[in-house]
Amino acid sequence: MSNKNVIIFDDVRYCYGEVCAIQNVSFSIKEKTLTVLIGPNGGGKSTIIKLITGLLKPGKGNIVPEESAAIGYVAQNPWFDVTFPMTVNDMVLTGTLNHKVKLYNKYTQPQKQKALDAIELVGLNGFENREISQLSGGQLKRAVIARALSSNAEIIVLDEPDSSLDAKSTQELYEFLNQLKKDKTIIIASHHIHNLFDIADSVIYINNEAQEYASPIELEEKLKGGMAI
Amino acid sequence: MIEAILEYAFMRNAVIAAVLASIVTGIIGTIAIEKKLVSMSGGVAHASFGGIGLGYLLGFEPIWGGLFFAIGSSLLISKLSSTKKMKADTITGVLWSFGMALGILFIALAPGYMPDMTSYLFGDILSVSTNALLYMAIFTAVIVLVFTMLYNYFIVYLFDEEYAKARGFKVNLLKWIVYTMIPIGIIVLIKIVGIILTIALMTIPVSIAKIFFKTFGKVVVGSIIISMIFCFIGLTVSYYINIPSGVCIIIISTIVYLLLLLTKSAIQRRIHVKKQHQEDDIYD
Repeated sequence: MSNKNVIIFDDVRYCYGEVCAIQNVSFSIKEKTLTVLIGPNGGGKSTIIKLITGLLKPGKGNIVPEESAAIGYVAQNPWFDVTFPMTVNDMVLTGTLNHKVKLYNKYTQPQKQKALDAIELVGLNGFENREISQLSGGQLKRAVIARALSSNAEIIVLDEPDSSLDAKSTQELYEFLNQLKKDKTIIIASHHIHNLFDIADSVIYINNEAQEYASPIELEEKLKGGMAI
Repeated sequence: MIEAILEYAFMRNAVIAAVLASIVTGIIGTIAIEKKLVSMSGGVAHASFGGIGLGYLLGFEPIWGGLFFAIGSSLLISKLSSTKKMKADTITGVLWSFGMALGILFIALAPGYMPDMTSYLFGDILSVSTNALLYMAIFTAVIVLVFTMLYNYFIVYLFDEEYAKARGFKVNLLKWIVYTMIPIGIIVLIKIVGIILTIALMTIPVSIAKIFFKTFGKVVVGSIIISMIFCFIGLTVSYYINIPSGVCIIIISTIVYLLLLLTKSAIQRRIHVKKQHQEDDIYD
């Protein structure tokens, strides 16, 4: 873990029309840590995730980094159509593509290897040539995570990554993310904070505003006191 | 048939036009289906009729008017729907009818007898002039060039736009390119199957290709080949029976598609039943 802050929110506000999902939000996330965003439904977790990934721009305040190219994103409910003609390998390969346009781009051997490594990391070996339409919900989630991992992104953001995984797969995923934080910064939005207590380095409680906790234990004390998540 | 192709210039033009239209079908049709822009494409095709009518009224090549109206309406649909104040479906419906109405108005206002618009509405592969072939070739070349240059970026954009945005891809640029390529492709197809039947040629070969091929690239190439087969069959039938080519192509391709769907469904049912029997045997 280093002391370098890779994400900084400085007095950020975002409103949908007249309803403000978050306001006066300030926090920072350190490099190569695993941070969990928790809070009740409608508290603004997904809004913060979208602000981090650049899908939304703040109405007020500043966010570092301003560009989202270095961030790998695993959405809660991916928007894509699973009938898109694509294999698991094709999908994960797209994660290795750089956002800067290079005409007649072809995937290199290292990119192909990176995709295969990511597929193996999420335990989808043997499924490389399987069409995405033939995957179960959990397998599809893993493929989406593999796509984020195959990128050069230093920061991986996962919005409710356990939403369509069974208990065993969730445990495996979290063990894997715990290993991954040695190399990358991981941010997870989740309701299931108890699964994450052992691996989280810091927790940010979001309920319209943000409250940082240096350790999960500190938050656990608050939860025992009846705070909602 | 081969003798006719060798003997008559109009038949050679028809064959080249069929090849060009099939290339466009494979690329534009796959993009439109995967990005769910099929009804938008229908609206754009019909809106182009306004420009064709304007060409007749003002005395310039109607197809240029059609191209201008098609691109204009496509970009308008993209712009208005992105503000979320109007649904793309609603704007498409409005431009669909408005374009047709304008076309008929312009043609009615043009001096002299009202021209026969059947070839624009239903297509006529046997009447493709060398001049028309030239613009079809240029438009097809532009589409192929842009598509191959940005192939991997198109896949990212078409498959998961939200992810592409989050990773910093130039999604807006890709969107504008797609919304410009589709109307250009439609103008190529209008010569073969006409405004009214364009959507069918854009969707049926791609839908058939999706039954057989499971990757984006293979679906594109597969649709090009399937479209060529249908166009040549349609051309042959049209030549011998003297009925509009567009109608032949669409009727034949629709029948083949429906038969394939029925066959696929029957095979899947048989596999399902077989699997159930095997499971029952295990439990017994």
